[in-house]
Amino acid sequence: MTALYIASKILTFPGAYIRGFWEQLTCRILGLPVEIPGYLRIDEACGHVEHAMAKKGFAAYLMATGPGFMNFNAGFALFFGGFMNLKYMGITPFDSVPLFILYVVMTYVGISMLCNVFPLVEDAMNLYGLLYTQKKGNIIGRILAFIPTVITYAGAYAEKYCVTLIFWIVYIVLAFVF
Amino acid sequence: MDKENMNEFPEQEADLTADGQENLQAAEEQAPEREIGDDEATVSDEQTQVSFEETAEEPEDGDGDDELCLVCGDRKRAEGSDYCPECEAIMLSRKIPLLGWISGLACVIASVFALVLAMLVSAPVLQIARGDAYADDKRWYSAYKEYQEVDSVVAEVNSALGGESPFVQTGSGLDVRIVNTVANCYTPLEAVSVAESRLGSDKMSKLPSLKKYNEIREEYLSSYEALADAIEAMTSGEADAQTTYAAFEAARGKEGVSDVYLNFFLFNAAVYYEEGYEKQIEYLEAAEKSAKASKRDFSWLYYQDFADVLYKAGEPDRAMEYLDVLTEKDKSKFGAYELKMRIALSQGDKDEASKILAQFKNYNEGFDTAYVLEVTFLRCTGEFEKAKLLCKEALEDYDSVPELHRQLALLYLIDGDYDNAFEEAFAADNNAYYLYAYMGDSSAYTPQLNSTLYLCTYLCKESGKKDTENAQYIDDILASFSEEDLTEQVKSIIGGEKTVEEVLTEGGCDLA
Repeated sequence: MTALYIASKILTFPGAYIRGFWEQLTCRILGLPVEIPGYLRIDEACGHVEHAMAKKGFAAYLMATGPGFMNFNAGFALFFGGFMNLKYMGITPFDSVPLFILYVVMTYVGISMLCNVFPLVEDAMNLYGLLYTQKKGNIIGRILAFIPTVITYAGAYAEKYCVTLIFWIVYIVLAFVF
Repeated sequence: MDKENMNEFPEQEADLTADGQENLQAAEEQAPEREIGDDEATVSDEQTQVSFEETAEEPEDGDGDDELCLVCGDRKRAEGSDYCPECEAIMLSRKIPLLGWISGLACVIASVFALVLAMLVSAPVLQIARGDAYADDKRWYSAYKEYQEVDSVVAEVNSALGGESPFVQTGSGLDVRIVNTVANCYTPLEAVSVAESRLGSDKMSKLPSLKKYNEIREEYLSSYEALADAIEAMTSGEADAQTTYAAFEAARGKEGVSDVYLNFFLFNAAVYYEEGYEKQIEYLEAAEKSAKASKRDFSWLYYQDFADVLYKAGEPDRAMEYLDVLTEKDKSKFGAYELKMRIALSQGDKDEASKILAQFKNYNEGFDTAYVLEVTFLRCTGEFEKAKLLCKEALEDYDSVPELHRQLALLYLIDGDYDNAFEEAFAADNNAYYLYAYMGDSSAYTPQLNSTLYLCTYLCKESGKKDTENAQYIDDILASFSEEDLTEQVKSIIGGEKTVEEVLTEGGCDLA
């Protein structure tokens, strides 16, 4: 499973690398020590940085969702911009090779970022544990954060087992073949 | 190996008391190496490693080691931290690599560009997506109308940008969509013409999805060319019916001549020579037999004609079978729905006709064809005022649709308002001309339009009211028709055998 995970990160290396960058930036902003800074290491933390766990609820929430939020927004914009031009506006290599390449790259980078939206399972568990087991943070915050936390938790597992990458591959195949 | 283990460094490899930072870096370099597929190494180090998570969760459970820094394992942890102040200072001061900053910045810039791009193309994309939805639902005419408007939406976006942007343009994908919809709602032969005009021959030959239309066209043309001399002799009046049929039959079996097309050309010759419906049906049955033998779908070629002839020959049930196939393949097939409705009306089944209309409107709500069919239904069922109001409402959106002007002309004829009837018939003819001249679409030139133009012009002149804008053309129009061009319905009105209302509300409910 680790090999599959690493393969998925290598396949989506632009998104994995940028996700690592957002994660380290978030650590800096939150004042969390970063143990191992490499973004594309060949291990189970590929696409992430090794950092100390946040001890406060809001910090844990930001740590688990902030980098993903950045990747999601940027990735969605890139994917949407590229995909719409390829799928709907119908740009092909017969029309313009540079434009076609640009849109293919945009779609790929966008998808690679969308495949690197969720945190490591440990970060998601830390978030859930702080907010709903240790009940850190105020009640309104915990209520508001419940759905995002559950999504993050489920997404972390989905990403761990490459479900997100498989989803996107299937989506692209269906969109362009059928 | 999990994250817990990766957070840890062996005590002996991280002696910050000696060379602090250097040793920490050395430990960092060695730690990942040990982790790659080397679970045993991890297990062997377990005694000397301290789990970050365990430590975090059980801070007071330790035997003294739990109070030590997780990284160096040598010094005591700072208060509220898992690390000693020295290690923490080093970890907090870790710099983000330059490539990271560049990637992050590039990502933000690229995503802003992509967002702007997505916003610019969103309007045409929505238009195309709507067309796709119609196409998926086999509403080909509706899809065609949506796709057709994309070019103008793109032009609008570009004009708002103050010039033609290379990033706001449609590609061959849209052209392929348009060609496919034309093939489905008209014929593959017309699809090839559209493809040539939109893409050009070179580009067209490169697109594999259009290859099938080209093959159909080639097959059709080679059959036509084999009969070209006979067809010319037929249209020039040099050959009589038997000579023409013999010439057509002589081409049967020749290389490149398809039996389906040959039989269809024979049917057209029979129509040209005004043979009886039996003979026409005979040729169409032969075409069907050949089509079945070829195991290819030729419904686009002869089904509508077949249904029409069967209806005229008094076989409405059989006609309905063909029409059902057509409406199944294309839910926006106006001709098929119109004939279905006429069959129902001619059988006096107003409810069934109303159902057919409702079905068509359901699939084509708001389109010109839906208006035309509803106006026709209202006129045929005697609701002239409603029909006129609806027609005028439709013309506000679809002023360039010849059939809507023609329907209004028929309604004015029923009212006895011949001046307006002439004006509307003139407008219908004018629009049909523009469609042909600028779009190459001659489908609006129907026998019904010719008959309407003639009758309106004739009655306008006869009534002596020439108080119309285009009165000067009246004599020219009448002179352009010969006795042979007039249909039975027109002759019966001019001869006084039937009233306009009778002709337009009984039987076929039209002038041809």
